[in-house]
Amino acid sequence: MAETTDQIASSRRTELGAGVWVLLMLGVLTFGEFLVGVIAPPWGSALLIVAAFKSVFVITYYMHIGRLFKENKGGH
Amino acid sequence: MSVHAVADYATKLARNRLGLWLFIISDSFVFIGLFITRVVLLGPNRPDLNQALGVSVTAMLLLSSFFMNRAEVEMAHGNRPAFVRNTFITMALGTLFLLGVVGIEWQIAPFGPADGAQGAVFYSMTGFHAFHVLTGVILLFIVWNNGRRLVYTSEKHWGVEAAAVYWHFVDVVWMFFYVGLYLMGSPV
Repeated sequence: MAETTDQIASSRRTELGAGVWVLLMLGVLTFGEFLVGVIAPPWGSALLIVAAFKSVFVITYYMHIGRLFKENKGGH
Repeated sequence: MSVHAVADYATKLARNRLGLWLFIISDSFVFIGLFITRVVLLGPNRPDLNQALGVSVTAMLLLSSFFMNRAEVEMAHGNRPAFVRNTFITMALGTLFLLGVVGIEWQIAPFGPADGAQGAVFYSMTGFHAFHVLTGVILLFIVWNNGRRLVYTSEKHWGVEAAAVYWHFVDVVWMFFYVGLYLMGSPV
């Protein structure tokens, strides 16, 4: 069934909004990493967990890994 | 498009996605190898690098991923001017990242590539990653140019999706390299 203009505009807004949310999360986590790395270098290794957390956000929301496991009905 | 054409394209798209992810997984093994090399050779130490520059180039790459995502979303919704604009910003940020790492950090680092394990680790990790950023910028330029020439539509833009996934992968790699080179261990 064809999407209406409102539905398309709404899905665009949702996707762009998710992108902003992910950027904010990445920014906050990266700034936290920077502070810990500069102030308490011995704790630096623990930052790998934060990096893994950040990568999950990017892989899920920006790289759309979920598309791999979905039945494809057209799209891009 | 006819029903058959849509089905054929969907099948091709699913194969393309699988192929791209297999490539990314295989490429990531090289980066994992480089990171393990860093852990083994440098242990609890890290190169004494410029922290302000490190966090700045990291911010540029994160921002570039954000704009690449916007570019892809805009193309998926048929907004070509916004796609072209966001892809251009992504390219510009990627180029600034390259300038920051290769043009500045490499020049001001207090050691050279031949100065022991520290030099070998730092230049091989940043060099291999920078090469990927460079290829990503070239890919983005091709996609940007195709976008301007109306090659893509909201239904068919696999090239944009592939370039975006590759670009985000380069970003993910840097998230770990940034920690490994700039934040893990004590500076020596």
